[in-house]
Amino acid sequence: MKLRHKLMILILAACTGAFGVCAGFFAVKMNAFTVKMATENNVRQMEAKDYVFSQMVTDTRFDAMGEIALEAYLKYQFRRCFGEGYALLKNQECLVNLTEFAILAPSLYEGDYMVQHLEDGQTVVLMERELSAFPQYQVLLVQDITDYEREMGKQMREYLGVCGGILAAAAAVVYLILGKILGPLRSLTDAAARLGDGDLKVRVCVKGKDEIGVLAEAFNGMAGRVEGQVEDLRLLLGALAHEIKTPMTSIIGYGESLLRLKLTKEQKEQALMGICRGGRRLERLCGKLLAMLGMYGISERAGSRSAGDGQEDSGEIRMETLSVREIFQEAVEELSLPIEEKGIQIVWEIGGEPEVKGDRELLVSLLYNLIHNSIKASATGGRIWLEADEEKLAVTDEGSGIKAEDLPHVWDAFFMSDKSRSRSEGGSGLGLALADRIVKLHYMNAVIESREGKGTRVIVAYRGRQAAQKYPD
Amino acid sequence: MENIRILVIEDETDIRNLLRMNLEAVGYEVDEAADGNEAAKKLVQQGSRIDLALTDVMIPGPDGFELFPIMEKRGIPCIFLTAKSDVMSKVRGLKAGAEDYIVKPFELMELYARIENVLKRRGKLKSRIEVDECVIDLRSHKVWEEGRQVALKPMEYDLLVFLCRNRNVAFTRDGLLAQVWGDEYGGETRTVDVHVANLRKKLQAAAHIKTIPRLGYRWE
Repeated sequence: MKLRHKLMILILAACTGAFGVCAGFFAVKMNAFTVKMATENNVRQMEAKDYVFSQMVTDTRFDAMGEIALEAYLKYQFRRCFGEGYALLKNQECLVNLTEFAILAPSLYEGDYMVQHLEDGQTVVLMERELSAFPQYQVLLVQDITDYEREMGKQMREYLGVCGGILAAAAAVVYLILGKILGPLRSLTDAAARLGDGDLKVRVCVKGKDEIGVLAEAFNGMAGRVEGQVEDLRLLLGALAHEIKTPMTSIIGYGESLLRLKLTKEQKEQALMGICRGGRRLERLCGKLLAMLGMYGISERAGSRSAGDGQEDSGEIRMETLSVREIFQEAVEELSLPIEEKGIQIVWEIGGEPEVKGDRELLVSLLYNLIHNSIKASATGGRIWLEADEEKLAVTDEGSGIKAEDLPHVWDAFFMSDKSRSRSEGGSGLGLALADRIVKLHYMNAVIESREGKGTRVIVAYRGRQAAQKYPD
Repeated sequence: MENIRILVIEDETDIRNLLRMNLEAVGYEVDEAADGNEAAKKLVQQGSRIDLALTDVMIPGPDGFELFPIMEKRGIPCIFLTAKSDVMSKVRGLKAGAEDYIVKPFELMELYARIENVLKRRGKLKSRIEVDECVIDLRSHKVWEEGRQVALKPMEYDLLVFLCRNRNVAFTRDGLLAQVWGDEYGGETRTVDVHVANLRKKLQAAAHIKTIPRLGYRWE
């Protein structure tokens, strides 16, 4: 059942219940009031008639009368004074009946008055009083209040009719209001379905600060993030396909040339070398991608550090306290060949013996990538500064630098500020993306500062969870 | 054909060398440029000597599209070479006036076929092919050897011209059937062998057609 219908039924049931209780309460009260008014009136009438009756019989000398004469006399006076609607009783026996009803069992009467519903649908009020002059005789008043009852019923029906009208109006209003309140839920449902079908641009337009408004806002936020992530992945995949095409072209091209062309010995060698180079480039790309994917998985797992050298020892992240100087040295050692080739001068500026908590392999890989980038950017004979203290480490070069407009993109996979240059330096465009991933895995913070033609400085601050673990108290 | 000169504009060294190797193998002369600036300089300085430019779109310096006006001004036909296979960049390239568009990774045969088509359209193919004592007149479709006209059947003539044009390239029998006879020809690969045998009988120059084991035929 729909929420709208559920709420409708609930609200209408509550209203009906309330009206019903009210109606019942008022019906009982009105009835009692009507009877009370009638009896009070009758009491006064009876008192007046009783008084007249007393006056009539006072000056008569009863002692001289026999019992039968007295009774006949009283009957006579009763007929004169009381009249229609009254009956005279003695010892629960009806002596005179001036009412329209048969009096069958006077002994059942008790209290100030009684209401009796007769079998033919009539309702009567019975009242019994003693005659003040002759206490052994009683006067019984029988008043027909059927008309009152009927009037009451009519009133009640009118009241119920009004209640019904109000309920119907309330139902209509509630239905409309619920529709207005729940409408946004329907558009949220539609939007979610469309999002599920792959329409990532879908957003819901719901205003208001109530729960549904908040839900809509959260939905829009989620849709935005999903869209962003899918877009990132799309870009990554597109860039990847583009990156793969070049080495693939040379492998296929050289292969086909070897197969079909009449080539000299040198040309054959050149073709084979081209195939090897293409293959190695694909392997490098693949390794870095695997490393990244490994780190994209569970955050506590990590791929190999620098897949370029083909080591694939993926395993859990092991957090241990490391000497920053040692991991710097390890990274520089791995890069000794390009450093030597380009005649790069490494300037060590490590203050004290700073320590950092993290995974040895990953942090060496991070520094490897940063220093490698600096080497690639540097001119022959350039200098690279390696700094570290208790809070941060930094790698600085005086190389080609990065254009201001390129700075926001440098962490993106496959982004290369100077494509042909980094390609000729053996770059895959994944180094910084990998570094970024490692930094995030360690809850560190990396900042890159650069000026074109002046050089680049990458600062990694070991803050966040890292710092909290390092200084527990 | 010896004098047709192609400028290869490509920043990836391996691909540039590959193109040079492929193009030189079939007898084109090749000049190279590694980036947009070098390409622009070569186009301006020796534009009249370049018959066709094979241009990678994504190169440092002015890119392929930006180089295009320089080529157009000098009447140099241009084939774009790109890793992007999306329709929009194809449309952009062709709209810019490129003669053709090759998507990496490309096949050797595709490269040759597209270059030949462009040269044919521009009328840059020579009307005569000379091999040893044999002369092929491409306009009249007649073949002479040592001064005597040699009578060839139409398919024999087509096969001769095709192999001659793509010298040093080996073709499978199926490949030759598709390229010379056309895809709709439902013949057997034996047909190719028969025609090659006939050519060898009728022409001394057809001795250049070598049988390559497990592959097919190649004009060497």
